[in-house]
Amino acid sequence: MISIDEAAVDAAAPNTEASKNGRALVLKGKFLKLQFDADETVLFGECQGSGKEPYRCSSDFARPEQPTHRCSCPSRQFPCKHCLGLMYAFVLKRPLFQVAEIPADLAEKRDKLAARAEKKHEDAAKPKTIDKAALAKKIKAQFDGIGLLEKLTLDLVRIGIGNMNAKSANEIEERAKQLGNAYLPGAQAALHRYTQLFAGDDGHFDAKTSPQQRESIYSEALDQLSRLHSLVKQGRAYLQRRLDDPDLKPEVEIPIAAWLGHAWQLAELKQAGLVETNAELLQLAFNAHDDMARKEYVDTGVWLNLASGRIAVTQNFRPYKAAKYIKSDDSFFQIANIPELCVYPGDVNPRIRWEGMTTRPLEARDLNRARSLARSDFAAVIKEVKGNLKGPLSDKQPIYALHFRKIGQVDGQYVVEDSKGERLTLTDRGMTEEPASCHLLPLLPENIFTDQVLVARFRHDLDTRRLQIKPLSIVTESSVVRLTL
Amino acid sequence: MSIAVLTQVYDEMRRLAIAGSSVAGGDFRLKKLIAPLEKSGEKAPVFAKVAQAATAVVESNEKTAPAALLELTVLVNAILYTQGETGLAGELKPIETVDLGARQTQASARMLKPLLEALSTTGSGRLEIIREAHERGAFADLRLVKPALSALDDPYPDIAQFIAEKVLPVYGAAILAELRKVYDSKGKAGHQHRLRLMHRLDPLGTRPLVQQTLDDGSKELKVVAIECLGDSAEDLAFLLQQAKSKAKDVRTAALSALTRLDVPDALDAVTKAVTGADLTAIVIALRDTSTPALRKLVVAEADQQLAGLAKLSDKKELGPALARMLVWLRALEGSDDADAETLLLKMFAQRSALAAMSAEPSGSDVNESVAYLLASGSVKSRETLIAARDSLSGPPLSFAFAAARRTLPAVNFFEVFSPFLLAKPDKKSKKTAEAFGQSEAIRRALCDQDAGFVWRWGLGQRQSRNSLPDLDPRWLDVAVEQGDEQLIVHLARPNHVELNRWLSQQLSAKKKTTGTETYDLLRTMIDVEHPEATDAVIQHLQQIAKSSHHGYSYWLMQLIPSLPKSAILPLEGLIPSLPDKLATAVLEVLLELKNRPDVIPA
Repeated sequence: MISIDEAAVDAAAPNTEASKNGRALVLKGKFLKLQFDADETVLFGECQGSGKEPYRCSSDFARPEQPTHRCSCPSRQFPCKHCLGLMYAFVLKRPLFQVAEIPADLAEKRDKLAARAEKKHEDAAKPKTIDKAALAKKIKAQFDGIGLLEKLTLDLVRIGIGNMNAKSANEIEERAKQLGNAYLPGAQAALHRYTQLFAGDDGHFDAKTSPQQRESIYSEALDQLSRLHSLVKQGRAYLQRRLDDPDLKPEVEIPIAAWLGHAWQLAELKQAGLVETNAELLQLAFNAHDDMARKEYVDTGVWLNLASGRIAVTQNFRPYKAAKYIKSDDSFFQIANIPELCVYPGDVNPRIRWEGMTTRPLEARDLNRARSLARSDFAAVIKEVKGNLKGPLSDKQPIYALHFRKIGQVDGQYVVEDSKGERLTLTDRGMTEEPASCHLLPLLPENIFTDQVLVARFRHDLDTRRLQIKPLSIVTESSVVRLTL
Repeated sequence: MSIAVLTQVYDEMRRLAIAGSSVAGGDFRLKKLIAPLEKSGEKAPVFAKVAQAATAVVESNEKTAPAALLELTVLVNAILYTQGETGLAGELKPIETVDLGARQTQASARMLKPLLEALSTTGSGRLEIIREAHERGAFADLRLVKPALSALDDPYPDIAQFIAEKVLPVYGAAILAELRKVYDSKGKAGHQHRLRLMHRLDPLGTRPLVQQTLDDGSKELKVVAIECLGDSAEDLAFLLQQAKSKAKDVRTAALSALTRLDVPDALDAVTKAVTGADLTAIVIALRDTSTPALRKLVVAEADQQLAGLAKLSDKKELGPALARMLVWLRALEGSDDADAETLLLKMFAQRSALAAMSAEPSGSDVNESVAYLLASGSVKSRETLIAARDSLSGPPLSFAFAAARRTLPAVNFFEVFSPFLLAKPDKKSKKTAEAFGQSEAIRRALCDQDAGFVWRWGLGQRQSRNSLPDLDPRWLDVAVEQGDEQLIVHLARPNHVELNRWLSQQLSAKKKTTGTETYDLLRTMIDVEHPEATDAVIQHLQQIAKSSHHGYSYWLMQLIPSLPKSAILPLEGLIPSLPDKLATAVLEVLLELKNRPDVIPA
């Protein structure tokens, strides 16, 4: 049985246009055939396009959490408007569907997919054979890359942060490209993150930056350099260990592999035991931002695991060059049921990913559960955050859910207070991933400032030496009030 | 822990990192801190480690300095990260909130993206997206506040103006802090909107910024700042000085602000100005002023102008004098004082003499304005106008009609004014000219066609045009009986059997299916919930689909969102048979119909 609704089809669409076009095909009566199999596991049909021959499209729900969409159209969007239209037709005009034999070519593809899935399953169970020579060669290249990163970092310190100019920034950017060739895209991005501190809104070196503005970025730049230095040290030690023992798997306790740019495969994460089964997630916040250092758009979802209470993040990276063809993530207002949730190595808010999910509506009990999982002892949270921040490669802006007694103002500064009177100040300063949110507080109803749950991002400001938080959303008994986008 | 020394170390290493590590070796300022660090290290070993790292920096050479400096940075930063201050002492006061009514912050990122792009990029078609979003209440999503504030600097002035006048005021005082933070007294157009908006939301709180702008602002912003003055007597001297400015915009702004000050000097300056060419520029300020002395001045000057008219015979002089009389009448609009009423009644009594003044503008134009002002004035004014109805024609009779509609019970109103309509002669001739003119005036009034007149003389800006009481049902009976299509379209109401029959007949009798009249008939059928409305629209869509020109479809598309929701299914059924372009257009408007709330809020 296929159990999808309009919201599920909307969510499957790569963008709003595709969704609109898919609906239009149904209403314009472009589908010449609308069919499903006797078991109702696959939808298939023919849709009239601009050409003579209709497109043959299908949406296969053999794996309900991960449907397979196929279409004979040349669109690079996935799923294409024809598959979306097919699903909309199923949701909106189900009586038009007729039971039919699955076409031979589709049946063949289904069989192949089932065989592939089976093989994948078997392969996952088997120990992975590693081409040790190739791996050793790659690690050697990475090792050399680390040497280059060290040289660049030391050069930057030698030049001095205050002496950065367009020429030196360009030189560093050029040489950083070699890190990509050395299989160290993470390290490359970390270096870009340093040079981007001196860039204007257009991503290029901003020569017009006033001395006062530059002064404000020096502390961050110095911290970034110390992070690069730690990356060199820890990365070299890690690569040396792997070079000495090519059987050694990527590090799973700490995120050094991701720092260097290791692209984790879901299978790898599963093999390493970094997987949770039947997880239920509630999205607390969502934002899409332009990461100029990575040259990618990044869609970030902040999720609460309703079982463990852990806050984790999803990150969908859409490189500038391919952004058009990659489906952007969107805000999610339901509960995601995930059979296999893969969790990346990480500290407070690890990255998570999954292959398939089903959804159910958000209910009051979910919000109550989320509220009960929030931390109500600010002192303990602060201690934990500080302890974590001292690691040079730790996440410097962790997210926590805080149960507060009151949000108010002290001398014009927004302050959140717990039941014991412990306070944290709210700010947008230095946290540019999401748009500013503090200015929205006076627009919220009064009852939202007492006894609710604040989802907030922590940041230690090196200049003021204050640990402050940025509000992302507020969880009440009836809704998640999102303050960022 | 001796954190003070650690922060000193941080400052020194930061200084060295900014300057470049080549100057780190032997740095005496860092060297001075090693001893206190070592001393602290006796109690806390971590300080000893910092001392070692600092020593390594001081003893480094050009080659080893970068690594040594970075080692020290890693260590010091790690400690300082654990020392971040958190709380803030003081009384925790509640946040002053602004109630925005029904709000929702749950729109998805994908839904908001086109609006965010419209607010933050350039290109055509953005104003429509923003306007449409405003109409459907999308700006109640609080996350749009910041983009909307930034849109005040939009290069397309209409967008900035729309945002400043329609969107941002809804957020009230909550946006003041952001407006103040960004405001630049030397800035461009966006800052003019900011200053006006801040003054509108908080006149007293914005005063320092207004003063600052007057001191050091750009020329354009100074003019806006002058407009914002007049709330305090302290402004007088400055405004008096600016009222003499050679620049017209500065002078106008200063004089407008002076109309808010009830002091003799301000009155003198305004009096002097209104005797000259500045009257037209400040007429709106004069109309809106609540200063009693100025209200008297307006009446006195208008009276004097009236007296002067009788003495003029030369058309060259009479025309400008009548034009100036019309400006004075604009300043009287909305006035509720007895002197103004007396003056208007006096002018109305002299309407024959005024009508005899032939110039451009004419005395009749003045009579029309007077009638308009009486119609929107006191009960006595309205009753005088209504009583004189038999002697009136054209717009003055229309205004008397409007006054009666607001004054008399619906039944009496019909009995008093319907004879004008019923007496309409078939043909206009010299003999029937007056009766024809009176009938037309009533028709115009019923069809609400006086907007043109009101616009021409700048009147009608101070009152709502949509607050008239319901008409007696017999008006529609008369219109249907006479088969007056234009009147029927304006008076139509649901559940009128004769009207429904007439509409069906008219529509089927139309040879041309794409004219304005057909559009009006269809519009009326939808408005009166005619049982055949959906079928009629569908039939027209089918006819358009057969023709090669789909231009008229634009007008038909405007009707579809107003159809009953029961029209959704038949229209969806029709779509497959339509040409692709027309089908796409129908789909767009069908979505609007689907999304239309069932009960349209008042």
